Amino acid sequence: MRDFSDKVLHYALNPRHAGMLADANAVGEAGSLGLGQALRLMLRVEPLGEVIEAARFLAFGGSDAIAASEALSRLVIGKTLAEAGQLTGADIAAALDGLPEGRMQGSTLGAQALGAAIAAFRGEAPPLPLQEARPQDAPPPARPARAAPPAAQAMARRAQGAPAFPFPRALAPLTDPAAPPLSAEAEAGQQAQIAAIIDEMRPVFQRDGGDIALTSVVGLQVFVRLSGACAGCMMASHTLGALRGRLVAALGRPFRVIPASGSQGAS
Amino acid sequence: MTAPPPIYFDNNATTRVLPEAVAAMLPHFSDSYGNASSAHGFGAEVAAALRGARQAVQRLIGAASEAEIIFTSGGTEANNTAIHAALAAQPGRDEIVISAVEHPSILAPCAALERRGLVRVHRIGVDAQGRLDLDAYRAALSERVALVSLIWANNETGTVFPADGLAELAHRAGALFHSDAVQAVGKRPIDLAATEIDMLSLSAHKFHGPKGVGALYLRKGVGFAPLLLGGRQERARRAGTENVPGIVGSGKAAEIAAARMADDLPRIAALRDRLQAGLCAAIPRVLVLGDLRDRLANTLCLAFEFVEAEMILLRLAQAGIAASSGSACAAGGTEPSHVLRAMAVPFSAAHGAVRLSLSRFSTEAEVDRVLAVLPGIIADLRAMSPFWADLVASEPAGGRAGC
Repeated sequence: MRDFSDKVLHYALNPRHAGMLADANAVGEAGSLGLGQALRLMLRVEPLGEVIEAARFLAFGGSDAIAASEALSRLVIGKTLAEAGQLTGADIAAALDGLPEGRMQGSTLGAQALGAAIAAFRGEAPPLPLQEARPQDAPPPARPARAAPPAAQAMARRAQGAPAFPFPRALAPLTDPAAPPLSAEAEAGQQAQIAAIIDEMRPVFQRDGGDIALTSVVGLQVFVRLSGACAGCMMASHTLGALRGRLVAALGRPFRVIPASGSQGAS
Repeated sequence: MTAPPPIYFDNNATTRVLPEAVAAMLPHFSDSYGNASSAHGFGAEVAAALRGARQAVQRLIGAASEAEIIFTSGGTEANNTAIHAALAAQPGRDEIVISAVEHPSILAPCAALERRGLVRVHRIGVDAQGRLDLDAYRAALSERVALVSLIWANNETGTVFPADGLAELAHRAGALFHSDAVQAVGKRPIDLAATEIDMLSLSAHKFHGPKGVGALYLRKGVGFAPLLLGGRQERARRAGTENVPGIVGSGKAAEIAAARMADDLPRIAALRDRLQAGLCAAIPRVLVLGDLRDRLANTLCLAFEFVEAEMILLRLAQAGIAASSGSACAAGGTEPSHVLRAMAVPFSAAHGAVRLSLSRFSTEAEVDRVLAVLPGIIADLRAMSPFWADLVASEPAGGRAGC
């Protein structure tokens, strides 16, 4: 502990951005219980300008992980997704006045979670989970005295390279993004189809204690409203990715699904 | 408002030096500076002081004779000496039996001998409570085994091995038996004369003596070869001019530990039990690690699910409370200690193991303060843990307290 900079200790002990972000629309995770550190980064991105308006995190790990999560949250607020996407682990470490040798994992974790959050917002497959091998003699996850909760189990499986979520992604290749505008009649028909697909997928969101509703369709942008328990959760981000895949497959156009909460996000 | 005095609950790492021990040492830093090997009066005075210290240590561990005590620079030297001596004393035998939960000062020399192809090392596993796998132990014993070395009481969990019975099993195979009793000496009654134990390591700073002094008990008649060669100090078993102040202070600490043990142990155990019960009642999803039926009176090792120990220690330190964790800074970040891994502590808790170790200086008020502070720290850290958020979302009753 004594090798950490004052800034690491200050951020680790006073993480102002720790906690849930109820209206997050870009959530990314990295790490696992087995690795001893994990980060869930929640961002609220203003959909049109793609400016990160708010950032919060939930983190598990040592001083480096907590401090890096705090530093990352401070770094990304006010940046566009494109600007934030340029941030690296080294930038996070620099914001902490450096991390001791051998304890750079926290900053790596931050960069990975940020990449996953941006990918989730864009409906892309998230980067692969942390590829650092578990220590060879790590405790076998067998024989737990009590079963770990489902989400922890899922994260543990992911740490071992299992696919994160069972939803299919990118069902069809993207068609030409500069697709010609449709007639008003076709627009209406298309919106009805989109609404029907969203209705079909509602149970997936409701299963997580939340809900989804179509707000509007503007060109290739499908605005939806998320509510309830899943508004800030990882599952929502990935389920939106699945929804996008369904829309693209069914309608043959490269839609983007843009989540917004409450009254925000309407065209 | 002044900050409350700091609380030291890390007595398995080291202990406060007794004022009486300090007082006993001081003359040997100034006026009484003779060399015990000298023939003149300066030396004779010091030789008498060393003898008094040797007898105090002898009484603390119930050795039959003061000649069985070899002072060393600490537990690490005693452990290294025991391994070296046993291999020399048992020609034709080239196997060593240890456990998976030994101290590094046993693990590292055994691994080094193994790498050089000089010995085969059997590492006996433990169960979830840290108890030795007796079947595996019996199976490893053979006429090839030179030495069995097993830790008496574990530094991380306080789990106690039945050293006397394990020694008898070793002797049936003709092996020598050594115990690393650095954590046990001064914290439980030990009567070596009544056992078959051949060698035992102890360290003075674990029982309120100074650092830099330990001893190897060597039963009379057991073969030996010194690790350090040179002068004929310690009956030619450990060369080098004695650390007289340290040894004298250790003798005083040993004397006081022996005299007060019957009063201290039940009091310390009661404090520890109150700490354990209070924390278990206030904090959900926590495991008490170690053998609850046979554990050092002062040790409480808790594993909190879904939080990481370093942050717990940092927050405790901020509140003026010193404790330690069951994880070490490894090359790849923090990972659970070899002891916790050997015990297969569930992965959800293995990174959140914290050791609170008390001493005769610990008080009710200190226990109360930890009880007032630690549950809040765990709750705070869990509030920022993604795994805790998932747990609460998936099973709202998961937050109930109780070990």
